[in-house]
Amino acid sequence: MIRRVIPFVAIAALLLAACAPAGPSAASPTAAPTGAGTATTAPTAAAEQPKPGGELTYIVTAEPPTFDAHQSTTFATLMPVSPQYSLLYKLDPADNVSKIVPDVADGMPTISADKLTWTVKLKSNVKFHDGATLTADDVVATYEKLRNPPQGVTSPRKATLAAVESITAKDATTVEFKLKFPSGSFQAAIASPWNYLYKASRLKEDPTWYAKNVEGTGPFVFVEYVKGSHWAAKKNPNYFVPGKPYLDSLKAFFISDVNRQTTAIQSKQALIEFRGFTPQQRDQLVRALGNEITVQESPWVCTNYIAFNTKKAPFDNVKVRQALNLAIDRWGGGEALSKQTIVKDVGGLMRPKGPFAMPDADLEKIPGYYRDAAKGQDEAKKLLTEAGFSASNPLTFTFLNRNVTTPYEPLALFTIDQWNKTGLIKATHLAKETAAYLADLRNANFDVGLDFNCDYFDEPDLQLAKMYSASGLGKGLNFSHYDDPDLDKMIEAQGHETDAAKRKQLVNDIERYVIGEKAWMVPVVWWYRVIPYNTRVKGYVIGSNHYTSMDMSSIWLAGQ
Amino acid sequence: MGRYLIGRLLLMIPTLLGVAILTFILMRVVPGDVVTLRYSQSGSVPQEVIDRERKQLGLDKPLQDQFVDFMGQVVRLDFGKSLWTDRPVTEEIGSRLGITLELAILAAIISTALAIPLGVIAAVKQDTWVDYAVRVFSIGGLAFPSFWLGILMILALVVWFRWAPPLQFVPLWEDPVANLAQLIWPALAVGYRYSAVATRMTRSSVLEVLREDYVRTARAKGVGETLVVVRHALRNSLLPVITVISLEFAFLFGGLVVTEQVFNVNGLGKLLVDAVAHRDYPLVQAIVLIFSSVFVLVNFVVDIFYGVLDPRIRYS
Amino acid sequence: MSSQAAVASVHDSEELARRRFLDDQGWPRARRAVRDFIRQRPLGTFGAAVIIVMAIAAIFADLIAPYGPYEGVFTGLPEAPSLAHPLGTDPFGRDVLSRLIYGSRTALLVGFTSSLVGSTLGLALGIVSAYFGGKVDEIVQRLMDILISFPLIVLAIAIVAVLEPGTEKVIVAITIPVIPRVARVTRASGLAVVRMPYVEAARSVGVRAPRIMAQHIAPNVFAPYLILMTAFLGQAILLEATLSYLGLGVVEPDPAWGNMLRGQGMAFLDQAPWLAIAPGVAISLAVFGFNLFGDSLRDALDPRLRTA
Repeated sequence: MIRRVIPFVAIAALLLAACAPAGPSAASPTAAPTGAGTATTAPTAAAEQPKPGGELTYIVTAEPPTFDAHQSTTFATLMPVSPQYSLLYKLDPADNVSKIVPDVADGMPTISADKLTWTVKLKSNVKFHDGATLTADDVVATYEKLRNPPQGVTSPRKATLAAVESITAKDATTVEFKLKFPSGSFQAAIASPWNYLYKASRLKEDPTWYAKNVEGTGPFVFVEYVKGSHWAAKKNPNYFVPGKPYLDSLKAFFISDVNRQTTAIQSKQALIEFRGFTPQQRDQLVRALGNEITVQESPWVCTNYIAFNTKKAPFDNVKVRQALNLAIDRWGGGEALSKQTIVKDVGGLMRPKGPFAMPDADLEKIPGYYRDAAKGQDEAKKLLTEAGFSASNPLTFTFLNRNVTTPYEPLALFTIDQWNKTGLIKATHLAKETAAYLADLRNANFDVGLDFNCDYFDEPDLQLAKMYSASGLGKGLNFSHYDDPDLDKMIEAQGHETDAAKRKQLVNDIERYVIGEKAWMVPVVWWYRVIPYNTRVKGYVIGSNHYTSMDMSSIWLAGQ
Repeated sequence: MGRYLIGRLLLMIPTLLGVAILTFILMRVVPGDVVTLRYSQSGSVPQEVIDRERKQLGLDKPLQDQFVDFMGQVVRLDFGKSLWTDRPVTEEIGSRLGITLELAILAAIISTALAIPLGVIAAVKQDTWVDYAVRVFSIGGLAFPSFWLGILMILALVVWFRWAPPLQFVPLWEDPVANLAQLIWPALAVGYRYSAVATRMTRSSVLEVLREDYVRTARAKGVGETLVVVRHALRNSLLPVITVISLEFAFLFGGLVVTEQVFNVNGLGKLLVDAVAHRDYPLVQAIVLIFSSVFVLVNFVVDIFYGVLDPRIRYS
Repeated sequence: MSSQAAVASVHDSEELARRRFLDDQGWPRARRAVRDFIRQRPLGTFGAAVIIVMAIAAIFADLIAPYGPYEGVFTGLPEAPSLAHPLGTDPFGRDVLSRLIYGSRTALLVGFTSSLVGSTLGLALGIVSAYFGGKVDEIVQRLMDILISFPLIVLAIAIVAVLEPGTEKVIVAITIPVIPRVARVTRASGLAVVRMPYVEAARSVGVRAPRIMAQHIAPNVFAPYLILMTAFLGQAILLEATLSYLGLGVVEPDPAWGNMLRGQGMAFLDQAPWLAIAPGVAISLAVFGFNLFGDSLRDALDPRLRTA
């Protein structure tokens, strides 16, 4: 009996040993990752001179559903396709946050005294990849398509050009925009990364041509797109900026599996991924590749909101909403969550550390943002008791979420934990598949839900667009489904204010109103972008978002 | 024989039709649609934009009308265009079918190459530690979660050899080394898994045959054991083994979905998961039909095989 | 020996045999069967041991687990294994060992329910199909073919998307593919039995269909049914893990092994490998156990494969 058992025990032992994973980590598990690596918000402007040549291999984590950025709302279009196109204005790649510089335009626009006429001059040496010269007609046709799309064409960002009354080509290199009202966001609108410049004649023939075809004036020329695999482009020898682009060619690999993305960079199959990695991915790469990895980190113009279905009791009661808002310890939570997922900073309705952000001292006065977490919990309990809830009769509801790990799951678990800690709430997690989750949000088929928003710019018109009344301009955007005409007026007012300081004041007032007074929808924690990339990649500045500066014209490769 | 074949062939049609209808029902019953998904990524897309697109794609029509349209397409064998990319479904599926097929065949080869020798050895050395080792090893294929195995595999390659399988697919005839360098790993993972059933089938089949009278006679005549096994036992025990391997191939096809995700193989499985997540009805229909057709076809082939070999079945 | 004495000695040995047979009933016989099983089939015994450990963990989780499955101090990072937490904690500060123990409850619940319900329904369909033959058989076969050839992923996503996610929906999603697979096998076995003369006899005498199916056919297909059920129990646990990997399984914060692998588990593979090893080993061991036990059960029940 014993004799028969021994070999089989040996096999079992071998198997168990084989089950241990590969890698040095198996021998000595560390309690916490070292998090080492150069974490800078902007690389020191090195005295290094850009070297021409080389191929940039990068990862894009989803495939482009369309090549026409006018119709797209996903980075999956911008990342592979932007290198082939140019914009009127763009974010300065050396800053990538708020500094706008001309792209195809020749200098900043001339603005009339009444701020209603914007004149833009164009460079005269801009050529499409087939040799044709870009003229004012092309710009006019492009922007007409954006603000007034023809039948059968969609323009999701039509509203960003709502201030425009007319666009005319004064001559071959001059475009004139006439506005209905002075708009604080117009400069950002014509620097939008989505507004690729197209050829007028193509648009006239077939306005949907650009959805499946690529032909631009950008620094790179399209080579091939193998669906599901990669996108390749090569240097445009006739680019209108002499000396650029530095790179010879680009190759974007489409990889959706998170672990495969990390191993691709770890094995140097790809040099960089432009959207953002989790802290764990960063730590893994830093541990494996040491100083062959550079890390850039920055706050992100993306956040999650808690949406309350105000059409359903008791979420129509401001006390209940306010209680749910107060119970969350944002400062402690942000700190802890930032170690395991892509969130970090605490902010109001505008990106923390951005141009419209409220200083922390002011933020801490808003309900839900107290530094003293216990105070928040106490006030929450008080409001809940006033609303009629108790330990034996807790506020019970489901928290609708997306079944995505980063950062939705940890955020939801954290928030639910905070709510249940009060003892007067019983919240359960309901994570649905994205399509089903979106349907529920839109159809007001939920109790409380985790909403999200991402933009390319710190621009109140963009970030506050969701807050409009649900039956008005907020239709399809406002998932708390409330109507608030006072708020509508406040948002409109800031949109017409052109003095920067006054505008910031108005925006901060809106934040105090929406979060502190009405608790219509409240942000949890803002996202945080971490990009660990191969040190050979130079000329990339992380900026505040993952949509802009994707034309790769300033990027160059060191080493060989 | 001819009648038997035609009979079996005709039976495939109602099955595939049933699959198509089931897919239609499932996809329509599930909440969410492609338009909301497309515009959900960033920024604010007003409701009217979404409504307009929906109308364009015909998604706002009542279910009965959509079903009629669908049946019309089925009759014309028109697979339509992908709702997500607006390209013909046949174009989307195109090259990916070849990749998945190659992966499946590679996995089947590996599975067979593992199963038959291991099964025979285990049967011949029944109840010894060799037998136990083989059985434990083969059940491992069924026990380890395939995605877990896959991730660990790639991590092991990267950490120990600083090498990862190529990201880009190169057809076998263009560059067999690059092609295999990418596909051998997922093929191993899947092949190992599917060898489990085949190994045990081989083992029990060989065991059965080894007890037959003619084998006893051969042994009594003094024929060497190896010859007994190879010449007599193996040949006669292969029939059920081949059946199992062929049937498993059909299941293997469907099982490639998760493996393709993990190894980032640009195949039909990965496309299916994306298509379902996007609620891309025409694409889902087409891919599901392909999977089902493979399954039904393989069964058909096995049935013919049996009909040829066993006259009793033909005439029943 | 005289004929009388011969007859007497035969009677004696018959009496002896009768006594021995009567003594060897009930518990002593069961004990002997178990002892033989352990002695002859060490792999199967190992499998049974694993199952028993799992069952104990599942039933007595509240007593055995050092912490609750949801409690933890949220610090943001997982902790390495220590005396307080033998398998460390996950990023939410929850004890991995405790969640593993409670997870076995989910695993057994999901596995047992879906394989039991699925196999029984499959058994019923297979028997009905085999007994009635003809049109009924054709229709049931077509339906089973449709279900079997349908990719599991689409089915699972559809089920989970329509019904809201949760453990019960996972059970439904896993039960459905089991049914046609069991139906196929039991139909094949059932067909063999249906052709037997005694079934013909019963039918001609006028015994009603349900009685024939239950009394004659069912017992003869019971062995494959049992074996399939244990096999699918293991596969169900694996399937739950795969569905969780795709985000369609048991929802956080409920503890389930597949759940523990998804997302946070695999994300920390480099820095906190125990998060991924522990549930992975648990799943593999469970499936191993069920398969080894099922295999040995088949060997034990199928007389043709006995070594003795």
